[in-house]
Amino acid sequence: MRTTRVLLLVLGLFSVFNFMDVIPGYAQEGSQFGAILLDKTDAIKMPQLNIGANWSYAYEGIPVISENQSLNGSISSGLKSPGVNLCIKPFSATEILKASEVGKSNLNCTGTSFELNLTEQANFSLPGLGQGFYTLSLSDTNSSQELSALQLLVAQEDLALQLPSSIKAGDPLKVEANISGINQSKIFGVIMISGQDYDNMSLNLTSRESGSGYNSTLKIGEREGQMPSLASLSYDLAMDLLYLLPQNSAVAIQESLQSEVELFLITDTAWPKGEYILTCAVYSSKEGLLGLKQETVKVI
Amino acid sequence: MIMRLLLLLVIFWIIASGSAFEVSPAQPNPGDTITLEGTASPGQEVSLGSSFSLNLPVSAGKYEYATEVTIPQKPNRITVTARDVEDFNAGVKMGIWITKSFPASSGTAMISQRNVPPGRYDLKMFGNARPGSTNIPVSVEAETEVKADSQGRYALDIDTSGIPAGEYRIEAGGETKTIQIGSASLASSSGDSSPSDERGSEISDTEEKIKAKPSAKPVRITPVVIRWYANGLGLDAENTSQYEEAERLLKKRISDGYWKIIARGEPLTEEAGDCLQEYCLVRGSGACQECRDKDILLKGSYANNLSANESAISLVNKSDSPTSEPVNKGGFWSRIWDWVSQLFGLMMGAAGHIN
Repeated sequence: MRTTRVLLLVLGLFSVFNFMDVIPGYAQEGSQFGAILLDKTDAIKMPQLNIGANWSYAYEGIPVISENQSLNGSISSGLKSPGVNLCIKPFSATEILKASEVGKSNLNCTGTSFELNLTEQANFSLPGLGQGFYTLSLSDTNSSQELSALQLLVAQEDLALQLPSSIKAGDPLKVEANISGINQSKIFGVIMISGQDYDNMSLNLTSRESGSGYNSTLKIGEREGQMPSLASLSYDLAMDLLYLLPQNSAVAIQESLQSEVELFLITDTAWPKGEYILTCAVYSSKEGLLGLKQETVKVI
Repeated sequence: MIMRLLLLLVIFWIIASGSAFEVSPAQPNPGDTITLEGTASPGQEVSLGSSFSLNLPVSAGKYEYATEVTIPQKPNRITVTARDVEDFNAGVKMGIWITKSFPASSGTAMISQRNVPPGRYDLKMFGNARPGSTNIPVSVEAETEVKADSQGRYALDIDTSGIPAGEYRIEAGGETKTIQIGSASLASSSGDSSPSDERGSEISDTEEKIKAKPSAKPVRITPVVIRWYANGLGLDAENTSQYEEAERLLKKRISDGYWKIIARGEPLTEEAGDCLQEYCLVRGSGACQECRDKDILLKGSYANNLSANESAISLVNKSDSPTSEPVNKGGFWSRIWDWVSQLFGLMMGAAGHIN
């Protein structure tokens, strides 16, 4: 199961929310009035995301921070009068689907809520969050309208990657991955996929006709895979995802007790030149997601 | 008396359950299909095993090997063991390249996988050698089972593609036979790449060298040979595109039988002695006399329609040591996802060993 999870993790990095239940900001109906801006963080690029029949988001990035990293940023309410609420809660795909159906987000904050007596703009600094996927939403307490929202991924540790900026097609790509402070068995996984293919990916979330749960379909080019349940991880699901990858993709995995490993991605001379997106994840069956990092590399 | 009875019983048991088998052809060439036929008890599941070894050359502290392997029927188990290594990376191409890395334990890294779906796979092995290692001993073992028919007969075809020339060990029902794949010279040239002899020899400077003995058999074109050829051309064999260019030129050069490459120790000609280097490029038996005469006049630059680099090989015959075997190109698209799942399932095992 551990292996499956890391494979899913790696494969899902181009659609992080796919199995991590994270999704980009979905409060589009009010987002023109407010914004949540995080200070510089790592981010994972997302594919096209279609939620139900009504909402669609293209290629946004999901911020990634580590547990020991405080969350700093600024909020712009766009309001003339004070009274906004910042909510940090675990992400729910079901909730966002319901929101898409009614065209309105659920403002019930099931997580941590901060009443902010601000007008226009204010900076914020919050202590580190526990590992997981969150939705940060900003709402107007007076009108009960969501102003802005974004999703946030919190990994346990910082993951650092070292790799060349470019390689020749056909050459192996060595990736040095370093994650600090975890002296236990863990799995490093990295996936390399062309930027063009990345941009041609989409994930569709739809509610089940039964009314409970949802279906998700990941599509890469002409291939698509059904993921009936994001919560249920299986080898079959992992294999389906693997099959979706274009031929000019590569995967490398290593299990190690060490904090630093070398991963080798094999390329072929026939690979098209251009930018490739490389996503690395570190996973532990005990601790879950330990680290996540995305880089780009040029194939020349 | 009791001991004799016991001995007879043991002998009887061996005869009864033993799986006398034959292998044909007895002296296959690399790439040939070996047929293993034997007898056992009707319906008996007979365990069959085969193994071979190779030494991978170390260059700049690294080793590398690429090949295409054929996996036999299920049930099966494939085990690859590399020694004198610091780490071991195995890449298999199933549509996309999937690489798994293993740290070595006391210099040894092993991958063992059962029930690999039958088929042909591009395979790459590479990593860092232990300091001071000049070559990496690698052993590859394959196991499978066949069921004897109602007459007690069983048979199995073994595709030797990807298996280097050399000794090939086959076990069936407890009996072991060792056959030789390829000639002895082939075995030494393709399976083990020892440093080249520094005593270089010009290839195209004497007529005698043109008259190669019929017994000088050409070697199989392996990555080591291509690398050697690339060195001779002044191409960088570490560079994949240049390696592939060298491979293309080499295959073009030997395609019409005019040229051939022989291994160390093979006779250059009847008079000119033996090849003293790792390999030697000589005129093959397919070269017509007129061509040979022309070739003598042009001293190696006869091939007007070949590139300057290509013709240079006959004049610049470096004796550089062969380095690690480069990558093998080509591939196929195979949806063998159950193996992929197993492949990733392997990671559950201890580092350096999958099971």
